[in-house]
Amino acid sequence: MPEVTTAHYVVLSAVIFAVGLFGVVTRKNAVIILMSLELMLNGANLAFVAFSRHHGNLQGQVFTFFVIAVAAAEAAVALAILIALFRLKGSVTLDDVTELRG
Amino acid sequence: MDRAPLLAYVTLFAPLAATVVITLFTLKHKALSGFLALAGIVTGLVCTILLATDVFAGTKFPPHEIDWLSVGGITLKFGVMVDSLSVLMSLVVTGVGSCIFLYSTGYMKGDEGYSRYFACLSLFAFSMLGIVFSTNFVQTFIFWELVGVSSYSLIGFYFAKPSAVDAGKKAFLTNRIGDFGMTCGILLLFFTLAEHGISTSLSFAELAPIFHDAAKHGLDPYSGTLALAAFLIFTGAMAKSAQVPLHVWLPDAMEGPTPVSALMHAATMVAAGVYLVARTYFLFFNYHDALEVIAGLGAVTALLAACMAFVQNDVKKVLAYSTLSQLGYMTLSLGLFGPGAAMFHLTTHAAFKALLFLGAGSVIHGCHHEQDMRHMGGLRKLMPVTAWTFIIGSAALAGIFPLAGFWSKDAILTTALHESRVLFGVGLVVAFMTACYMGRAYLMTFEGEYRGHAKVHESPATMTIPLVVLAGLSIVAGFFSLPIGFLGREHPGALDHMIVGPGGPAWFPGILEDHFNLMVAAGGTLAAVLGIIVAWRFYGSRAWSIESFTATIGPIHRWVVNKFYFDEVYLWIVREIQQRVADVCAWFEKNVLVQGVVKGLSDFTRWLGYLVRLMLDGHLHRYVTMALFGIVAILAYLGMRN
Amino acid sequence: MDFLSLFVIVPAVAALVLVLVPERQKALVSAIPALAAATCLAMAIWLMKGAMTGGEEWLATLTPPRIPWVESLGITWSVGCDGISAAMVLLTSIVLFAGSLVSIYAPSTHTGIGDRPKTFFLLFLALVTGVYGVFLVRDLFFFYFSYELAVVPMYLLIGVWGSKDREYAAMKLTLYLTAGAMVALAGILFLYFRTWEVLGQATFHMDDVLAASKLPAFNAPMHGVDFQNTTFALLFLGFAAIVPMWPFHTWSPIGHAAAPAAGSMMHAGVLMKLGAYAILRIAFPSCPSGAAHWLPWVAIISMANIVYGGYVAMAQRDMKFVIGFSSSSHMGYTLLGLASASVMGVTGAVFLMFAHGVMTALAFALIGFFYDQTHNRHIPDLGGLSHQLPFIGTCFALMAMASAGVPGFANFASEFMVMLGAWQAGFKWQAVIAVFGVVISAVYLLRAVRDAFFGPRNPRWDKIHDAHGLQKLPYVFLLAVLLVFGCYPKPITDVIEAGVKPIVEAVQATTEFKGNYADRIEIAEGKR
Repeated sequence: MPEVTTAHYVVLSAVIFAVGLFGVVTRKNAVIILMSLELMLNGANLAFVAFSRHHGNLQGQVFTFFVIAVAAAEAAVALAILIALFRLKGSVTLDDVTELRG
Repeated sequence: MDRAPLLAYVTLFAPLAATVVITLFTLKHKALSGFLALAGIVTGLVCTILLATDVFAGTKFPPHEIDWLSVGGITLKFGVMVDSLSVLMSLVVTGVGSCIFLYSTGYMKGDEGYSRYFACLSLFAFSMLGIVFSTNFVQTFIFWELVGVSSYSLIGFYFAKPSAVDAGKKAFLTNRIGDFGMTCGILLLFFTLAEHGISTSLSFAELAPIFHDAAKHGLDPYSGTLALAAFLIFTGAMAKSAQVPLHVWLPDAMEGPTPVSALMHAATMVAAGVYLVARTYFLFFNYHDALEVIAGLGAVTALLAACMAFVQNDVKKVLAYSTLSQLGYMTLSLGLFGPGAAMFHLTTHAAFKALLFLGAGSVIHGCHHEQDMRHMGGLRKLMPVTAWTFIIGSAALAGIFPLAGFWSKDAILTTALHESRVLFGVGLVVAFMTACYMGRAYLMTFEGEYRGHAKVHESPATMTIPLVVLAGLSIVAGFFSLPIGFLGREHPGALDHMIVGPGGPAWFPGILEDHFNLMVAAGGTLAAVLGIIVAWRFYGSRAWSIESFTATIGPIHRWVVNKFYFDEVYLWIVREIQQRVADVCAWFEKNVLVQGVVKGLSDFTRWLGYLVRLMLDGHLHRYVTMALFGIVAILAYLGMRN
Repeated sequence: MDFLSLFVIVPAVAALVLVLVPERQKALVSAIPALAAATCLAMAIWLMKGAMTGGEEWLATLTPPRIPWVESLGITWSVGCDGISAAMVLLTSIVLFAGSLVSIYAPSTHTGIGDRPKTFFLLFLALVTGVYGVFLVRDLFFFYFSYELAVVPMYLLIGVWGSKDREYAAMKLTLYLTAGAMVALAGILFLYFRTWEVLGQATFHMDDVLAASKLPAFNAPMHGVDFQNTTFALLFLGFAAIVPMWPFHTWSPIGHAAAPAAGSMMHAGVLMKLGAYAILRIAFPSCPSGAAHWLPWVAIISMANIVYGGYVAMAQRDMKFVIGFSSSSHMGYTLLGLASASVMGVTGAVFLMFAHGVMTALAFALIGFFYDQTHNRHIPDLGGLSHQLPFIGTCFALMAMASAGVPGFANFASEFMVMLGAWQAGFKWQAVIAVFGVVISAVYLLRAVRDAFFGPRNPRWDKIHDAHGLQKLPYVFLLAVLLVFGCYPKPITDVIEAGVKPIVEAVQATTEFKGNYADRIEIAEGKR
């Protein structure tokens, strides 16, 4: 059984990131976009942790904690905005929200 | 400081002090304002008389100067020059001025702007005295402009009357045109001298010796540049002394109160031009071309103005055109190497012209602001003092022996005969015309039947006393030209001699001194008497009909009545050129600069904004996609660079 | 704290104190700026008096040591004062004092300030802080900072308290001036980096820039173009927008017209002088050969200012526009004076900045006074106002005389100096046209006076009141300043000359100058 190397983790993290990005770009529903964003963040987290292990220091892990904390805050704010949006428009489809055009 | 400059400074600043005190403190106390103004000018008169006793006895004083401005090696000065010329002129200004100030306290009684009137009048006297005592061109120019300003405030004194305000504006702007020439002349003179390595503060005392010995200082005595400078400086004098074609403001200036006209026509303002040329004669003497032009202009002015005086019905306008004509006379004399004669005529003219204006003012006052001679007549019996003094003034102006005008006119005619027969002829014709139109004015006003409706009364003593004093001066002023003692001292010679004699302010090698010539005197007197007889035939005995005469000379009469269309030409220039240029500039500003360039730029920016805006339609996906492509592009660029 | 910095600190502190005062304390809200203004005026008079007696040496003793701010970039707080600065500081203080009095003693509540005097004065003081900064700091960073601080509050002053077309005017003014400032900033940065290169250390101090500019390496071409010519052009163009030089002047008349009275006073009186001051303070000494290269062109453009500005003023019907365009015409004389690059002309230009500042402040104060009551500035609608407003009418006529260059007022002396300087520099025709410009100015000013103040009584204005008691103070004060310096200009011109001399002599020492002003050199050497 081959050893799980850093490369494996990085590839996995890239795949997760790409899946998240795909979701952000293609999906219309704001909730799903948020979930996809979380996927992207976690992909990045995985890469951080992997490199942390690779280099044998803790810097990457520290970053991960920050990212998780920021992601939690972001999710809270974003969901609050979504609830407000839903109350206003009755939907969370982003095609309906184009007020911020130039 | 010595006594002489101190007295001169007191003379100069006493009227200014009156102006300042009246403006700041006594605007509401009319009687006090009048008294202060009178006190100011009389102080000046007393100081001038003290100065005169020294100066006319032959004492010489160096000019007293302080630095007014000193920058980059150029120094401009301020000071007083005490010599026979300035003291003579100061005597005229303060002497005639005192009479007019006293007269004004009566004439202006009850006017709303009484205090303002005296503040402006004192300022006027101050400005004129500033020119008189000036030591250099720049100082002269400063007071020159101030005279313009104070005349603006006095001509437009009745500011509720649009015609008065316009007349003030016209006077100021016409003088500004003259001042334009004068400034250019001063600059040209200054830097032409600088080019020849002569650095001066343009002081008369410094310049006179340089021009006396032009060649020694490397100046070309016939240089066109200096002649041009002299002529440009003369344009300032042309405007102030109302020479054709810058004379148009003077008749309109009659809109001011009558004592102002008297002051302006006799002692200040119009005298300034003649005085300036006499004062700076060293500048003109070498440049015969410039002098010829000056003489020609003087002759034309004298003739044209005398013609126009014939057709006026407003008593003040007759006197205004008469002043113009007499100023032409003086200028003629200046152009013919006779600054002494010109100054002499200026002095005597100041006395009798002030008298005539004040007499006219008395008539106007007595007739309740009626100025039209057609509504007067027979006033001699109703206003005897005014009438008799007016006769003396008219006779003096006409040049009847032995009144003041006879001597000074004779001096000018003698000068003219010496230089040019043609101009002598012009002088004789003008003398004839002067006597004639003054006869007409007198006869229409004082003789015959009264044609008005208002109840006429003689003027109060404050107004008649100055008339009598001035009448006395009009009789005796001419005797100062005789080589007799003056003020109880041994006199070195006539008035003329003090100014143009050796060492005098306007002396030049070869300058003309006036010598009495019996033939000229006889000719002048004959012309004057003829003029009076003609006037009598037309307006006294009515032996000749004026209507048929005007019909005979039809077109000429029309030209004269329309003042030779000078006003029309100026109006055309103002309306059709100046205003058009202004409109074109304003149009350019509005439509090309603001609407075109500036708005064009802002429109372009806005259009650019619209273009960019097309990309931002509010769809989040598109933004994310664009960001994605952006990141890819940046990564690709970085990848390619490495 | 040193004396010179106090000029910046006093208005700044006053502004901070004003923040703490509640809006409803009306008396206190007007008292604080007035007090600050009076303090500044007293200090400025003391400064000028010292300069008149002690000269440049005394002014030099006032310079405090530099206080480092950001050492790695070479930014220091350093102030200094020469004759030019002293004159400009005095001007600022005079206009500030009169402006705050006009705002307090206006016939209605506040001249166009409405019900927010606190915010108004706050911005006003901020602006003044910036102006003092420009005139006194000797560090290019703080110079630029002060410059922007002086320009930006004007946007709000006009936009909020202005009259007709205020949004347009405020936007236009701000865009022009900040755009100009950006161009000038490029020039300043050129100087900064070149100085860094030459001296091997970062410094924004003007003295260091000057020291560097004396070294040959400073003038090395930049990308193949002459360094000084490029830098001078950038600095000049940038600052000329505020002068305002034709054709960048279109912001100025409308800016004056829309601003409230105290705003116009400060703006036309002082702010417009920042441009010419900055040109003289930065562009001239650091790029003397660039100055000699470009200035003959400026002498030509200044003619457009004088003549074109005058003729446009002649066609105006709004009183503020007449004065606005006349300002642009008068500033042409300042440009001509600068372009002459002679001690006489440049001293005259600085003196004219002073005289015109006071005169135009007076003009806008007077217009503000009657506009506040008539709500009308259209000249044909006015007329006969002297019947109702004898005092204001007299002051206005005197102001017009001053503006028309009548002797006795400082404007005449300064304009005459400019003409002398221009002719001395060989710009004979420009000098003649400048003299003609005085005739034009008399035409439109006398016309404005006649149409607005003279003529028969107009019953429409019977309800308006003339100035009385303390209300007269600012007008009398400004007129007195014009008369005092106009009747005897020597003391102040001596002070200005001492400041101008080193700057001009540096320009005259360049080879470029010898080429461009050949005429004048020949005259000086008596060759012609």
